[in-house]
Amino acid sequence: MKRRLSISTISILAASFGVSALLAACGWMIFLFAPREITMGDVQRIVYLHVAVAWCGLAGCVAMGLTAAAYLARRNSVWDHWSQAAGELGWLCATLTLATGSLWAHEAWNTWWTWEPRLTASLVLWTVFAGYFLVRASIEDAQRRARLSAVLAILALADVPLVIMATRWFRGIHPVTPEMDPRMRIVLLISIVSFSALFILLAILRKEQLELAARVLSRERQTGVVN
Amino acid sequence: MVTLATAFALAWAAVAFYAMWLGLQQHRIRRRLDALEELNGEEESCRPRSRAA
Repeated sequence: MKRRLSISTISILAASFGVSALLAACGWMIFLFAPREITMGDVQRIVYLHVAVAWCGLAGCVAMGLTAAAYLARRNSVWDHWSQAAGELGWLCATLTLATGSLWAHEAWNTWWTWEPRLTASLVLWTVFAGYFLVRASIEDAQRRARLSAVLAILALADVPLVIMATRWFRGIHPVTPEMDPRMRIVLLISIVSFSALFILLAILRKEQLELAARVLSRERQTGVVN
Repeated sequence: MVTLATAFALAWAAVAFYAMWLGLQQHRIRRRLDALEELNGEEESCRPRSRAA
C-alpha cells in the first residue's frame, strides 16, 4: 500500500512555511500597521479577524456544497472527502465568527448577542454545519453517509446568500460596509488572504488524510481485520 | 485590550486545536497501517513454511 501522502512532504512544508509567514505579516499589520480607530479604539482590530473567519466560514459552506454536488454527479469518494474537509473548516470558522462577533458586539452594542438578521442567519449556518456532522457521525455505511450528507450540504448553500444579504434585505444593526481608512482596507484584505491560505492548506491536508483513512479501512476489510 | 486579546487567543487556540487533532488522527491512521503491514508480513512469512509442509 502507498504509505506516503500523494502530496510530497516538501511541498507541504513549503506551503506551511509560506502560510506561517503570511500570518505573521498579517499579525504585524493588524497590531502595528493598521491605524487605531477613533470611536472604538483597539477593540476595532477584532474586525480584521472576524471578517476573515466569516469569509472562510462562508467559503467553506460553498466549497462543501459544490463538492457535494460533484459527488452526487460523479459518485467519486474524493469529492465526499473534499466536502467533509471543507465542512470541518467551515464549521470551525463559523464558530470563530460567532465568538469574535460576540466579543466585538459586547464592546460596540453592549450586549453579547441580539437576534439581529445577520447574526441569526450566521447562527443558522452554524447549526446547519452541526447537523451535517451529526448526519455524518450517525451513518456507518460510507456510500449512504456520503449521499445523505451531500444532500444536506447542498441545502446548506441556501443560507449563504441569506447571511451575505441579511444586512441589505432586512433592517438590522450589523454594519454593512463601513467607511474605512485605506490602510485599514489593506490590512483587511491581507487578513482575508492569509486566513484563506491557512484554510486551503488545512483543507488539503485533511482531504489527503481522509483518503488515506479510507484506503486503510478498505485494506482492513480485505484482510478481515474489521467487518 | 482584554477583549481584543481574548478574540485573538481564541482564534489561535481553535486553529491549534484543529491542527493537533489532525496530527492525532494521522498518528492513529499510521498505527493502523503499521498493524496491517505487520499482519501482511506475518502472512508472507507463513507461506513458504506451509508450502514446505
